[in-house]
Amino acid sequence: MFAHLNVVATAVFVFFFGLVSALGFLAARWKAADLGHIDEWGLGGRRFGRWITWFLLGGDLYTAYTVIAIPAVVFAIGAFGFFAIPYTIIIYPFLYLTFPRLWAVCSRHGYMTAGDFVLGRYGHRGLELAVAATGILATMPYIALQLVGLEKVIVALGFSGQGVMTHAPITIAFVILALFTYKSGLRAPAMIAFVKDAMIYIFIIAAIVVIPYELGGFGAISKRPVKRSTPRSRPILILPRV
Amino acid sequence: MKFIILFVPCVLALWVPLYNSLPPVVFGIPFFFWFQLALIPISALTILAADRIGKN
Repeated sequence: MFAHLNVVATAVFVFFFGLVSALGFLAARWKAADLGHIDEWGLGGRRFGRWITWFLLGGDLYTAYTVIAIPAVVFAIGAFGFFAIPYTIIIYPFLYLTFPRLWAVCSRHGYMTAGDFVLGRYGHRGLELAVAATGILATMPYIALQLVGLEKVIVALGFSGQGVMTHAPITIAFVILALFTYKSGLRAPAMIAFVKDAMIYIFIIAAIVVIPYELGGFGAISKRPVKRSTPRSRPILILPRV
Repeated sequence: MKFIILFVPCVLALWVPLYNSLPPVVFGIPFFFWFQLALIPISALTILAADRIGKN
């Protein structure tokens, strides 16, 4: 099970997982307030302000989707995987125009969720339920992606379990995550975001400095032959140009 | 004016034939890739510009 474990990588993983878990539990005491109040638990009492929100968004938007799923898509199907970049470029101006107004309205009326907002705006219980249910359903594949991503990370460390042990590391990790979220609410991801953002910056620097340095530049990387079990076209461009 | 400025990066990002090309290659990176990556800071600057205009 641990025969092929990469000791250095596993030590780094365990260290950061421990650090993040400790912060997650400690976060309950941050900006101390009554966490029994749903506004305090779910929205950090609406008192996070710009800087903490910036870190929280950075930590929450850039996930296993960014660092595992999108690179894997580009690796598998080439240029089409770059949909992720125009998508971000279009979404930010849109959010800039709409979200400050949404925040102001929700703050004034004490709305917590998209469902609360829809009920307040349209006064329709069915519509509120539909929006809330859609939100939960739409989050499921995204959570699944995070879990698959975490499992890939654990496999990459060299862990290979059999039977019940196959999913043991991810189960333990998920239970710890669920426990500190239950205890600290939104304060947990907000506090962890500082560590996570620092790790993402290290990852980006490694990707644009260390990897090209080791492999002889971006040009050499794009020309590298890739071992594939099934030969498949991996275009560099969206449309063939003549 | 604010909306026109915010529109610029969106139009550039959606205009795929504009950047669907290998040359000019910079540091070994095809135009298709570095143009889209360059749009990210441009997009951030346009939001900053729109914000400044909106406050006056």
